[in-house]
Amino acid sequence: MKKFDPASFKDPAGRVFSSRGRIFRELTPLGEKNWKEFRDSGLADELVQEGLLVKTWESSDPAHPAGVLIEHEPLPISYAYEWPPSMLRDAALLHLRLMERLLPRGFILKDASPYNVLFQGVRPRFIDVLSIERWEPGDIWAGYGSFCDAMLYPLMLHAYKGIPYHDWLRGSLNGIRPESFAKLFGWLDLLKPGVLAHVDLRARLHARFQRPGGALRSDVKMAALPASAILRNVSGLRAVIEGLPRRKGKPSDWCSYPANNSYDPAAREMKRAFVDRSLAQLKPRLLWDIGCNTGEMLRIAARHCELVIGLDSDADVVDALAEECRREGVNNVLPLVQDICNPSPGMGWACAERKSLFDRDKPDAVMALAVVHHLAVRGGVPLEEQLGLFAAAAPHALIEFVDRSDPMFVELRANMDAGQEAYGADEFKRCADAYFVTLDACAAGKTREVRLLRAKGR
Amino acid sequence: MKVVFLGLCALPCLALPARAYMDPGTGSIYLQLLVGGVAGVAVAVKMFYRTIKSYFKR
Repeated sequence: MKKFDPASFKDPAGRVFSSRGRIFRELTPLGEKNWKEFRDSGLADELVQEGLLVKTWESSDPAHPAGVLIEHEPLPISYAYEWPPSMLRDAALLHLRLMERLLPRGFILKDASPYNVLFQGVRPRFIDVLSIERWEPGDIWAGYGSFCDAMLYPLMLHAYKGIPYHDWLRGSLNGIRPESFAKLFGWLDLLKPGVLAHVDLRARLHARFQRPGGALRSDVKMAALPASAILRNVSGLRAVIEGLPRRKGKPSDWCSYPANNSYDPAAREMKRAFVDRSLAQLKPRLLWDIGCNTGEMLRIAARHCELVIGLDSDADVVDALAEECRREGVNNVLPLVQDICNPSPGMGWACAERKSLFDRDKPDAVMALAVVHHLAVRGGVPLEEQLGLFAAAAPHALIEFVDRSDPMFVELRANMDAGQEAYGADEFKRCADAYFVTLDACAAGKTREVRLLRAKGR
Repeated sequence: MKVVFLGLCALPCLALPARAYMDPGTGSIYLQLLVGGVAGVAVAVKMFYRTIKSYFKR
């Protein structure tokens, strides 16, 4: 029996399952009708060619020879609460672009959810083709509310209030409710684009009309709401999102780390060469770069990998990396906001709708350069736990150890009286030897060492 | 704007099967009419007019 993806049970039009790395969507009669209309319109092919829709084709299932099965190009899993602001913005604009392309041709997105988007590198692709269905005069955009809750409001929270939205979206998968969100805004905020209509007025209307919207929807249908009214709303939302200012306040200090650190130029060059050489030798299909910062080493690694997922807890540096990849057309880097001390858990129904970081595609190697001292001092995670986790995550690891005599370590620990007494070169060697076989090593200056490791028993 | 808003508040619930698998929310539907420009407001007025008409036909 095929095991359906636990994230796809809500849609009455079909369900997703995977088989040997391939992604299929099994259609119900309703889904089959919708898909055939969409396919026959020629729009499906156009949207794939334009890069808006994930590559999709009809496939076959020996178990159900009569039914239509569609197959999608597999994309790495990531969620809105892991995307930096520019990626969430692109996912939101993708929805609006799709509405603009679909409505004039008699189709519509029946919902709006950032979980219907995955990224190919830093390019968003809409993955849920069954969200696209026929539009008839009078149909409203049922996804407008969830578009606001899960995409517009988090972006406004970041841009207008300078508050990171990641924790909010992780706390509530459906996004931020208008009643709560409106409480953050004062009278002067009503002058900011989009706040009066999409936040304040929407919250008031929700408070006034708490009954479900089905009956009213029928009234609107009878009054034949035209597509132009929906498109007007869509273009208004586009203007709001495109006009959102950059976050308030100065960028995080980590954005300037590449120019402000304790490396001497020769040691830095040795480290770069070692990373380049090691990954050229390994050629991992999927690499995780833990603590990727703005991606200086990640970009070297990306030359040798099919895909590099850059993980960093600082949204500003992840956003800077995403911007750079977008600007330079790099398509094999996926930058995600992720604190390895508290990575994404399994969430939603049965804790399985949204996968934990460790339940996704397994990396072939992890890279953790100049990170272990941060995890030890700021995260309080002993080296033993860190190296145990890296060895369990992937068969190979590239790890840079920073000694306690390094100026960065001294600075990090300046305000601490106790903790991590065991941290040091001997402890690193002991733990590395316990979990790994060292394949190669390089001294990057007097206080740093990079090791290429293979996990024992793998 | 106030007239339209009051009109929207007075709308009846005529029964036609809705085909949504998610509830768009009454408040969000009203808002879509308001931000839908002239066409959206025209629909709201039309709905309001129907309400009045059906009231006198009773």
